[in-house]
Amino acid sequence: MGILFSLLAALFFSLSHITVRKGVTKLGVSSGTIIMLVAGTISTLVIALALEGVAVLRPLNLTSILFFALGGVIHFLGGWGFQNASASRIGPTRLSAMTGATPLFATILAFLSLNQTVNIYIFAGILLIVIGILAITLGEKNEG
Amino acid sequence: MKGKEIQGYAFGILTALCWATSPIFIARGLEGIPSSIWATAIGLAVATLIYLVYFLLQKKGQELLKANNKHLMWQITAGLAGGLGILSRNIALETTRVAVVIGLVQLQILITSILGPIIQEKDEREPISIKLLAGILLILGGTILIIYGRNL
Repeated sequence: MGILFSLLAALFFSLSHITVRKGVTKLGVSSGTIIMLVAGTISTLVIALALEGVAVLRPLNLTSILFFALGGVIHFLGGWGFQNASASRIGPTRLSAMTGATPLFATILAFLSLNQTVNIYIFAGILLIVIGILAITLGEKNEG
Repeated sequence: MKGKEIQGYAFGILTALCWATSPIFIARGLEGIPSSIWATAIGLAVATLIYLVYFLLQKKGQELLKANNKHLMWQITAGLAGGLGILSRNIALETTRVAVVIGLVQLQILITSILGPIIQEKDEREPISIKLLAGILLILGGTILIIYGRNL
């Protein structure tokens, strides 16, 4: 089931990147972002209510709400806002490629916060991602 | 490369930075209530309320009234797909190892490059160059190496 939902997530993220380009180019980043946020909120609230109900919220405390809020603001307000601004400028394929740097940043943050060490595989992975991003951005420069 | 494109790439990188940072806070919140579905819904609702206040204060509501229905529908689809995507990822994380989920979710780069030309109209299609494809493969390869390296 986990693999199925992971693949579904990949499909939904792709759809979001492609359709956001079709909408936000004409609507503008501000209007595009508020529409995405409202649509996303309504759909996730309906799904949360349908799948888990409100009983699961009983142990909810202020600390958890604050952390969810902070995570939500960073992911949706920041992430979706930047996604809209990016998609309207470079298109969904290049945007998707740039968001491929997410595991790289996650790894760097883990090292900074957990003091983990970098092994040869992680170093090689970081190098490949950086080269990949450079290939895409510098490729644009040479071709355009 | 034009200034607009440089901004586009920079915003794309900032998107990745935001998406890498948010799980740290969500994970802390989940210590109090073990529901990643509600975590997503609450986080999204708070972000929407904050942005709605800003949007209304800026008096940008008039722009929406003039918007073309077709463009509105595409943007609503983007919001629904984005919400369903994060929900699917969080549900997957409840039952499957993080490394597997992150790796599979990164397939979105390939899926976008395949689905993009199908969904986009002719004049909207992006030119897919060899360098773009090579970059995508390098990013995917790098992701696999990082996941492997973090699980040793």
